[in-house]
Parts: sequence; C-alpha cells; structure tokens
Amino acid sequence: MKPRKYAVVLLALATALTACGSDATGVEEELIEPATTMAGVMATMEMADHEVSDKDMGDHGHGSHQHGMPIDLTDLSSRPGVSLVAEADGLGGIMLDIGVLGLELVPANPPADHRLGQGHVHVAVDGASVAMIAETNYHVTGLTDGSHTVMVTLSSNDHRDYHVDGSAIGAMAMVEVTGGKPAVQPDVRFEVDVEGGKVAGGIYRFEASVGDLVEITVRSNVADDVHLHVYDLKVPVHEGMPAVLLVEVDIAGVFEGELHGAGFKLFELTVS
Amino acid sequence: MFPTVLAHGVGGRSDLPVPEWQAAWGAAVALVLSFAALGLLWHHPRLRSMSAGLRVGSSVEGAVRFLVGVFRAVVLVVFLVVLAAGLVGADDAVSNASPVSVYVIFWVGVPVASVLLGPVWRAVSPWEALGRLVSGSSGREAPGWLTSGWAALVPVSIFHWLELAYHDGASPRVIGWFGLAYTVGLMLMSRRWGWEEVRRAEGFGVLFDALASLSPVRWDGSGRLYVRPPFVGVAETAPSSSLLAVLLAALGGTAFDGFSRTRVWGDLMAGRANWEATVVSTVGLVWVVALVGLAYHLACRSGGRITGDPGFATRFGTSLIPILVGYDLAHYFSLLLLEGQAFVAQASDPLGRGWDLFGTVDNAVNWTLISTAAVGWVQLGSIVVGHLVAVVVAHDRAVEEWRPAVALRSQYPMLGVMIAYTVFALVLIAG
Repeated sequence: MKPRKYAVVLLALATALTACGSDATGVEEELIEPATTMAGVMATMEMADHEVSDKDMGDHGHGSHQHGMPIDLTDLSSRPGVSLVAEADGLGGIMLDIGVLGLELVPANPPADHRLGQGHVHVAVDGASVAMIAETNYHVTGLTDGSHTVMVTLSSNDHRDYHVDGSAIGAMAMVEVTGGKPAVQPDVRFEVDVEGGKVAGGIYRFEASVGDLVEITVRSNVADDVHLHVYDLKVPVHEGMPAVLLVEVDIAGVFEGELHGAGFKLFELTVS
Repeated sequence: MFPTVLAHGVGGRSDLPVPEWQAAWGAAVALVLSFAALGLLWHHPRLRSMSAGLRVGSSVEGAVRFLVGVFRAVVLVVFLVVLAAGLVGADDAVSNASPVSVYVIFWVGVPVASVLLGPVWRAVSPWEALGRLVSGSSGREAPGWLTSGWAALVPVSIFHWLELAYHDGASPRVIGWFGLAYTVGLMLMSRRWGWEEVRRAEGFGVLFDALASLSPVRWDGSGRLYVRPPFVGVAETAPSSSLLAVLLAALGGTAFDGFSRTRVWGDLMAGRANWEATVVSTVGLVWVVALVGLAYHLACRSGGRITGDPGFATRFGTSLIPILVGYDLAHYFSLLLLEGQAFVAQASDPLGRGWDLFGTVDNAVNWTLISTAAVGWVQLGSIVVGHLVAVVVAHDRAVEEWRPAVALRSQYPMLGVMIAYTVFALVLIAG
C-alpha cells in the first residue's frame, strides 16, 4: 500500500557520520527522538562536506559571494544540531518543521557579522538553494510532482557553513510531492553507478543537444556530492538515495561530472 | 588535463572535438603547403633582415614606457596579492584567486600577450623587478649550471608537473608555496650572482621571451620600439641547447594535456584519485614529453648526417616556437576566454574572504562568450599556421647556413617531425 504522502527524515549531526556510524551515536538519538514520532522512515547519514547551500539565491550560482571557509565547531563541547521533518502539503509544496539546537537564529537580512552561537538556516531543494531563514517552519511551494530532496544546513551570519569533523551540520529529507505541477519529462536520461567509490565500467560519456532537458541519475554506495561543472549543480548522493541532476543544457561544450569528495571524474557530458 | 586536474578549480567548458573532416582538411592543407614551400621558397635568407623592423615615433615610445611603468607596478601588486592568496587565502580553488591567476592569466595570458606585443613579461615581471632590486655586485663568478641556461628547465618542468600531473595542483597552498620557494630561490641567487646571470634560471621569462620573438613588435634593450611583419623575429633568436630543452618540455607538456583529454586516457584514469592519479599522470607526462623529444632528436640526427652539422638540433630549436604557440592556442584559447573571466570576480576577493574591492565579485562567467564552432576554427587555424611558420623559419635558417641543395635535403627530416607534431595535434583536437 502506497501512502499518499510520507516523509523521510534524515538527520545528520555534525560528526562525519561515515557509513559505519561511530562516536556521536548518543547525541544523534536524542535528536532523532522527536523526529521519529512523525516520520515513517529514518536514516542517518553523512552530510555532504560543504557548499550544498552555497549558491546564490535566485541566480545561477556562478561567482557566488557566499564562498567563505566553513566554520569548524568540532572542538565545541555542546555542538549545535538540526533536525528536519518534511511533509508534502498535497498542493505541490512541502511543509518543513526544523528543529535547531544550540544556535540562536538571527535573520540573514540585514547582513550581520559572524558571531559564534548565532546563525540561520539554509534551505535547499534538490541541491538548489531556495531560502535562508531564521524561523523553524517553512513552506516550500511550486514544486513538481515526484520525489524531491530537501536539505537544511546551519549557517553563520556571514553565510558560512558550520562544520563538525569536516561535514556540514544539516539534515535532509526526501519527500514525494503531489498536487503540484506535472513532473517534467526529460529529453534524455542517463545513469551512472558508483560502487565502493569506483565508477563501474570506466568514465561514462553522455551526449545531448543544446536545449535538451537532461536527467542524470547517479547511484553510489558511498556518500559524496555529485558536481556538474559550469552548470554548477551539486547534489548529494547516499546509499539508497541517488543524486538526480536535472538540467536544461544551453551551453555547448564538454562538461565534467565528478564525485566531489573522492575527487575523480564520473562522466563527461557532451552538449553540441 | 587542465580541466581535469583543475576540475576542482578552474575546470569548466572543454572544447568539443573538432569534426574529423575539418581536422583532415587542416592536415591536408598543412601537408601540401609545406611540400610546396620546400620547392618554392627562397634560396637566400630573408627573415633576419626583415626582423629589425621600422622604428615607431619617439612619442609613442614615451607613452609605451609610461604604460609599462604603470603595468610593472600593477603586476607587482597582483603578484604579491596572488602569492598571499595562495599562502593564506581560503584554501579552495574556486574562491581563491591564485589558481585562475596562475594557470590561466599567467600561463596562457602572458604567452598570448607576448606573441602579440613582444617581450612583455620581461618588462613587467615581478621577478625581474625584485631580482634587479636585490641583485648583488656581480663579483662572484656564476656556476656553470646557471650560465649554461639549463636551470630554466627546472621551474618549467615543475610547473608542468603541478599543472598536469599532480592531483592537487589547483590547491592555493601548493601554488603559494611553489611561488614563494621559486621567488626566494631566485632572489637568493640574484643576491649572490647578480640578476643578469640569474635571469637565465627564470624559466618562465626564458620561455615567454622566446614566444615574444614571433611578435610584430620588437623592443630593443634601450626602450626603442620597432614594428615588423609577424613571425619573422624568430629568425634572430639565438638558439641554444637549453632553450631547445625548455621548448620541447613545453611542447611535450601541452601535448600531454591534449592527450589526457582523449577517451583512451580518460578510461585509464577512471576511478583513480589522489596519489594514484598523480603517479599515473606523471608516467604519462614523462612518456609524452620523451616521445616528443625523441621524435625531434631522431629527425635532427638524420639532418645532422645530411649536413655534417653536429649542432643541427640546437640550430633548428627555435623553429619549434611557432609550433608551440599553435599548440598553446589550440589547447588553451577557450580556457583563457572562458575560465579567464573568473579572474574579474576573484580580483575583488582574491583571498576568498568575502570582500568586494571593485564591486565585481558577482561577475558571472559567460560560458557562451565564444561558440564551439569558432573555438574549433581557432584550434585548427593556430595548429596549421604554427606548422607553416615553423617550416618557413626552419627553411630560412637552412639556406642561411648551407647552399640551396644541401639546405633543401636538410629539411626533409625537419618537415617529417613537424608533420608528425601537427598530425598528432590534429588527432588530439579531433578527440
């Protein structure tokens, strides 16, 4: 039986929760607790290292001004944390209920200087930044039907990510949206499989024409970010949660998609 | 591999492969014209007499001297800022200005400017300015490795390795420490032996000066300016075995860069990262440089046998300059025009600290500034023109040295190796 709407809540604590879990389990569970009651499925995962929410609002993300070094809070005794409950509203949107611990939320506008203990929340949908907020409830609207990934990260007043053990402090959810705009049908679809951090079967080579809507699905059993250059898409990938890059290709040339953390090329997209 | 290695930094839009018919036509034109050149070209040297040029008015020279002075100061400031960015700026190849400044503006922009405007690097180089400043009295005699010019090969080789083989070559820290070590090394040597000697170890200056010999603008040592037909100046560039080595290293490096974008290499590198990638790329780089060098030396051994000239290889070394420029433009033209734009935004925030000095920090790269078709024609044109200029330059040097019949025969092996380079270059851009 397929539920009409469901929310997957994924909680990522600062601690680089590498695949095998590790030291911060105690803290996680405390935070996970409230979320569990509301969400059907629960997973914990490593968060992409940075820049996930590091795109300019609205523009195409080139030449961002929010590209400062992340702020490392690893040495803090009480590290801030964030949890996320995301539920489809049945009208093409997602209601976010964000739980923030250990951080005073300050509006991003007017801009303020960095102060430890203060910050705001960056909200990204499918890897693209949609909002910077100081509230714990947010309504994402205008989505298409189908599966969307919502991510919230804790940011300093000057838009740098708070990190612990090399990972951004954030939480993530995957939501099946209904009642929205009909899902767009890509002109071409490509798939990439990464196994154990290796590209299965050599570099993938994809070809598309200028103007095509291209969908590239990357599956990996190791958590990382998939980065498509120039089009500047950066989408996290985790075991069981593929990265889906959807882009209308309007620039001709050859573009690389890479596994950002591992630092190697996954595919080449030739647009002509 | 520029975009591959620098994928984390300035990698962006790579060029589409040039269609095979277009590359084949380029090869055919190059071949036919080169053979025609052997038979039809002049029997007495001509280029050297043309390379002196006509002097421009002294008012223009005054204006140029003023501009050069301004530029020298600006470049010195930019150099110090980029060095600082590399050493203490955000350690991130996108927001830090040093990767684009060094690998695009310096390594591609300065050669292009040299070919167009003459020895600009010597005029504005911060190492030149600082080297003269600290230059010691040249009382001590400089050692042989310095005076021979072979020291120039060291920075050029290390730079190529960082750019093309080392997996972390786009890291601001790597760039910063390399820049600092090189600068300090040059200054210590200049203090000890004087800049006039140490200049020979500044490999980038040696290379860029050689490229500047193609320029239609000639600057003599005392600030006088002359205009002349393009390309002819290479005839009066003094050949030396160390310059030949630097040129071959640069040519081999650029060839490897092209090779590393091929399907074969891409599959070989699939899934390799970090030091594993570095090791494999290093082997590839050395292999391609060796191959390019070997091809040249085999041709020259044959040419040496024909002419009985033991210095044959060195004598024709400078005819590689136009081929190198052709290779450079074919591989890096779009990089300069596209990724180079990132410099505009980075100039406002060189250290990646969230500054906006000139209000340009949001300047986005226009990735469609030039069409892929136009890039293809530039690639093809630069390779073919570079090849033809090289053939003519080598021919002129041959008739300078030997009577026409011997000169003609001496050019068969030279033509052979140049065609090999050109066909290789065309194969690479055709993917």
